[in-house]
Amino acid sequence: MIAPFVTRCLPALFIFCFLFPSLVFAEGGGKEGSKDDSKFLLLEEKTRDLDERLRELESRAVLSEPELLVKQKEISVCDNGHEYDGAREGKCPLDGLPLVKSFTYQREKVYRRQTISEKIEEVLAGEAKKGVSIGVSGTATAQEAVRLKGNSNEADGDLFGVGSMDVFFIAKPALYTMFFIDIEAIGGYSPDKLIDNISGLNSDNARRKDARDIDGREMNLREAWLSTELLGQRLTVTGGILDLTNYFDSNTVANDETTQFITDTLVNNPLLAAPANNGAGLTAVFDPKVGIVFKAGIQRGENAENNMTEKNYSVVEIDYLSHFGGLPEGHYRIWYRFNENTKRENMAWGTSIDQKLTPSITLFGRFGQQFTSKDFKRDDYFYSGGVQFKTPYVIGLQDAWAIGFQSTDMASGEDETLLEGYYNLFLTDNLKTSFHLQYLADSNVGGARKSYVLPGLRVQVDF
Amino acid sequence: MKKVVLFLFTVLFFCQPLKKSFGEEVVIKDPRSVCVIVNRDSNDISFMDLKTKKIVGRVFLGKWVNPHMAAMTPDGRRVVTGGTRANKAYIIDVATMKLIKTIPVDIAPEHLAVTPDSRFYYQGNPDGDSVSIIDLVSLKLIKNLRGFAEPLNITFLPDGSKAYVANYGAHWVGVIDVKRHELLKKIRIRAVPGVSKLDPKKYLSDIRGISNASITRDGRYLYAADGDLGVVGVIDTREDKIVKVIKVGADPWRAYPSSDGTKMVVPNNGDETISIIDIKKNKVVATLEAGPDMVGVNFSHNKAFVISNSSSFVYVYDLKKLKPAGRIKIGTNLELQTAATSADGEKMYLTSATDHSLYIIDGKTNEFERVADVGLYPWGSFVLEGRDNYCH
Repeated sequence: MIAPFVTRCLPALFIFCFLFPSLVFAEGGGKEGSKDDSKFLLLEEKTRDLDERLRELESRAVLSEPELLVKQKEISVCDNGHEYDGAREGKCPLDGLPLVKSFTYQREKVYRRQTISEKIEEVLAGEAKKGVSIGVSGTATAQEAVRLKGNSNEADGDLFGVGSMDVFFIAKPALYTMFFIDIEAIGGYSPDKLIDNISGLNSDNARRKDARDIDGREMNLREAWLSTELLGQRLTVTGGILDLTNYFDSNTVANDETTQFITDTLVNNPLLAAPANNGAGLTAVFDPKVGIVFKAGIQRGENAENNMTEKNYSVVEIDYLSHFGGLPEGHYRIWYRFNENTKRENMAWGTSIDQKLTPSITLFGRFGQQFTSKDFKRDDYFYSGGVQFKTPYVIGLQDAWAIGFQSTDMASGEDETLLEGYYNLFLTDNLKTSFHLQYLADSNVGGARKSYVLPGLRVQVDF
Repeated sequence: MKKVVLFLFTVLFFCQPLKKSFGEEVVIKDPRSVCVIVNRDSNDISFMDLKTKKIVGRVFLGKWVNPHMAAMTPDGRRVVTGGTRANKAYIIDVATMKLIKTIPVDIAPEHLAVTPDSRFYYQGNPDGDSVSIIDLVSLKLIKNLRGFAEPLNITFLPDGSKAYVANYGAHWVGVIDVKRHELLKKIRIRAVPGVSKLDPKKYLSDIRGISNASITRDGRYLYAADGDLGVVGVIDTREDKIVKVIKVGADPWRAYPSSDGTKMVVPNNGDETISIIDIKKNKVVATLEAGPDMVGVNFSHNKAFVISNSSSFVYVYDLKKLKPAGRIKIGTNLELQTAATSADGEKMYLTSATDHSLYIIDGKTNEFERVADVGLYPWGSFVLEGRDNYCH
């Protein structure tokens, strides 16, 4: 311990000798002293100069102000309002009353530096959160009908086109709550006008009030609803003017008429028969995030005339996320619906399945059975299925293509089979185009049997 | 008189080391016993005892510093951090919890890494397009290595011979020779598709490139996710080349290696899903629904815990069954940041910025407890020898 002390102090002693040579050595001390004085004066002057420049700079510079943030903190309070920081047990030191735990909000200073652009971005983001977001989506389709078999008075070589535009408004009026409006304008000529069928050759057109309306321009309020999350955000309740097909009978590869199949029965199960007029309704979705989801929905029926509760349409569904046998994920859904009442002919059930075989290949399938009255010998049935391919079986990284078929067999004797293939070309985040080929293989809807080939083109933009 | 004062000053200066030899107060005896917490707005680094869950000390860096990420050197002697608004690197002595050196670096230092032998500290400066290289023995800046495009994260090989720099402003990973401290090569993940010329608004205005090159537990491969391209590139570290490009979801953030070394979990913020990649097969074995604004993934008990910044949820996934296993609601209106996993893999230390807290999640039971007031706006945490240490 002494050795380090001595070692470290030796340099100090040398410096003492250097600084005070007059004390150690007899001669030469006076001249050294005056040189040091002038050096010191020079240093003093420089320091004064720097001081003044710094003061000038401070007076002209724009000072950064600290951010003020509001922080929640725990406190303890007695009945007389005496407040103490933190959670305290026992009694109030001032008046002996019991202390109760509580919380409050308090401002604190934060020395956080932000660039001007960060400040602007923060303000804009805050404004955007408070306000309403607007989105626009437009779809245009062109289809040609080539008759292979059927009556000569039906379409052959005719060109059809349907265009639609949706404007969406989204607002978040409260925590975990969303308000949504969809206004749609649609018009044009669909092959469904001239070709009798039950598949719906243009699903976009199928959403119109009168799908066979030739003058075809209409604007309507498609959806307007309020949605909120309850029970720790496990239960989502949505009420208002709803499109129930957004919640039930979903499918990962066959559910979107703007980017996937164009045939209506390859977008949704026709036996689901959700009210096409999108009346007032309510849905509840319980999702505990463990792979199983429960859904229920009720909506004003299409035939309701006097009030919202007559002739209701209701549906329930269970969804399951699977990983069978080492396969990638699959979705298995089963639904049951009641239209107006529980009479046999007003009930139906169905399934919707999509199963990935690999990350690039997904199979899908739907089945439906509509019960019929005793007037019929059998029930109505619907089947559909197909496969979708993504990269690396595509040209562009985000392209996709698929083939599908559907078969509808009604108890009334009408039956129809259709195949469709499409290739969706992803051009930009906002622009996609797809090429379609539909083959109405065999249909007896409207009388004579017929078959058609319908090549088509679809362009979709969204913002 | 002035000379006497100067003498006394000199004596004191040279006798200063005596204080240490007599024993400056050692606050942290075992560096593995603490969790390091970076507090952006209180401009300090706090140290929390892992057993008592109490803050044992803070090191204030200065006003307007706004530190981003902190890491402890593998030998446990130093904590290093970059002050994003001060353009400086800070070095703290762990035992005494004292700030021992401040080194000017380049513009806006954020993420960093330390060589496995604790010799060098590489500080990434995204706004300066450079990596500052600091010698931890001499505590001096060796150089600001340029040639990068918004370098976000740096990954060293286990043998410390090379460092891989992920460039968020580009689609390549840079390789640094750690001996010579030079940028050796650039590894492109994938070509930008020709169709991107149709969308100059997207491709010329903003770029979401590579945020991190994540190394497998055996150090053999790196997985680099590219946000714009929606792919993960697999790099062989022996030959420094791409061996596979795997398509994942939209706008993937980065890959996180599971504890058992068999999987990489990639959060895709563009479509709110996660992709689970099997490292042996080098393909996606599951794509599962997740949440918005995912900033990190931790692993414990064969589960992946995916942190969603804005929803206040941590999404849990069973990595054996490849299925969701629920989610943990941490609170309401929180901004969850990143987490560090303890060395034994049992606990995760999750920072929560807006309530200034640290949440300790039990990986087995999914229960959590809150440690309040760890500092203002905690941004990240670090545990020495922890299974998962990262920053967003």
